[in-house]
Amino acid sequence: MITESILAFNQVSKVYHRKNAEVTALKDLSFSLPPDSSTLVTGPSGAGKTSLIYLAGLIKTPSSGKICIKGVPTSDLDDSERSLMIRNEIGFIFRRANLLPYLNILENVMLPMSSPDEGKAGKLLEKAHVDKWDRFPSDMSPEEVQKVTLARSLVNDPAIVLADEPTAELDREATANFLELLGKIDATLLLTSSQSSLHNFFDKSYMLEYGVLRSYP
Amino acid sequence: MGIYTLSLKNLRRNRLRNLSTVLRISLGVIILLILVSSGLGISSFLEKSGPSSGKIGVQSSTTADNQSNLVSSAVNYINSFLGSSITENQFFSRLEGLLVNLVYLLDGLASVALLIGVLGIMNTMGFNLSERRREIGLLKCMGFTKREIFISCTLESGLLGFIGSIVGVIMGTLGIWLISVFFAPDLFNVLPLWLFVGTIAITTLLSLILGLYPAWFTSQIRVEEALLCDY
Repeated sequence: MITESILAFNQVSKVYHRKNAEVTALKDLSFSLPPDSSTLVTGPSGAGKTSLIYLAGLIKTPSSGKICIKGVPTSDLDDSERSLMIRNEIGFIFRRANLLPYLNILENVMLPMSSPDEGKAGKLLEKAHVDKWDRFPSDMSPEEVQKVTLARSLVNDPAIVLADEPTAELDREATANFLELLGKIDATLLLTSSQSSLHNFFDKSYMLEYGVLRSYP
Repeated sequence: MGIYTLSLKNLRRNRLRNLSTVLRISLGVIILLILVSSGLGISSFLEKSGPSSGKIGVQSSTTADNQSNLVSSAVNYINSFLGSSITENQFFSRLEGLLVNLVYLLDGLASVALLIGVLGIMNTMGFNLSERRREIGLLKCMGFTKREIFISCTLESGLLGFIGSIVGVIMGTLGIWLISVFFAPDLFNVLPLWLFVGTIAITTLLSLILGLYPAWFTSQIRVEEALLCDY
C-alpha cells in the first residue's frame, strides 16, 4: 500500500514541547494519497493543518510514526537528501507572500530549477493564465501571486503539491478560479483550508479537529 | 536559477543601504591608497638618497651647498634648543629613522582605515539578511540547501566588497594623480600595479570573511520559524 501511494502517513503524531506543557498537534494520523488525486483537509484555526503540511513537506519531523513519499521513508533522509527530495518531488503553496519581491514573475517561476528553462516556465505561466512576465510581485493581485506560485510549484514536475490555505486571502470568484486551475495539475494535491465548502473541488476530503483526522463529510 | 544569479539579484534591493556600504568601503580604500602611496613616496625618496650614510637629501652642485647650509643651521638650532650635541651625520640617520617609522605608521593607519570601511559590511549583511527571513524559508521550501544559502549570502557580501574596492581604487587613483600633479610630481610613478590589484583582492577577501557569520546564521534559520515572519 505504501509504495503505491505518493504520500503515506502511518500512525504519525506531532507533539510540541512548550515551556511547561506538551501540545499534541497531530494524533496518530494514518492516510495515503494515490497518484494524481486531490485531497482537502479542513479544520478550524489551530487544528494542526499547517503542521500536517510541514510534516508532509519534510519541513518538520514527526514525533512518532512514519511518513513515506513515493515509498521512501523520509525519516532516513539526511539534510541534503531531504533538500533534493523537496526540490524534485514537492511543490509548496502558502497562504501569502510566496514570491521573492526582487525577482520578476518569470524569475520567480524559474527559481527552483537546476538549469533555467524559460520555455517550460513560460508554458506553466500560460496554463495559469498569467501574462506580462516582467512584472514584480508588488504589481500583482493576490490571485495572480497564487497563480504564479502554482506555476513555480510545478516547475520541477513534482509528485505532490502541498497547499497551505492558499485561498485564504482570495475572494470567492478568485478562489473558484484558482481551485479550477489546481484541478488541472498533473500531480497529487494536498490542500488545507478552513473553508469546508471547497470539498466539491476535491476527490477526497478530511476534517482535522484537535489533531485527529476524520473523513468528510 | 543558480545561487550566483540570486546573489547578484539580491543587490537590487536595499539599494540605499548597499550604496552606503559601498561608499564606506570605497572611502576606506581611498584613504588606504593615499596613505600607502605617501609611504611608498617616502620609501622611494629614501632609496634614491642612498643608505643611511649622512647623505639623505644631499645633491650635487650649488643646490648641495644651499642644502648643506640649511642642514647646518637646522642642526645648530636643534643643538641650541635641546642642549644636545648631535652631528650632521647623526641628524641624518635620525631623520631617516623617523621617516621609516612614518612609513610604518602610514601603513598601519591605512590598514585601520580599510578595516573600518570593510567592517560595515557585517552590519549591512546582518540587516539585509534579517529582513529576509521569510524568503530564506521559501528558498528552503524550494529545495535550496543550507550550503547553497550560505554560499549565496557570502557571495553577496563579497560582491559588495568587490564593487566598493573597484570604486575606491578608481577614486583613490584619481586622488593620487591630483596630488602628484599639484604637490609631488614623482608620486604617481612610484606606485606599483600590485598596490591596486592587491587592494581589490584584500578588500574582497575581507568582505567575504566578514560576511561569513551573517551568512552562516541565516543558513541555519528553521523553515517553520522563517515562514512565520511577515517579512
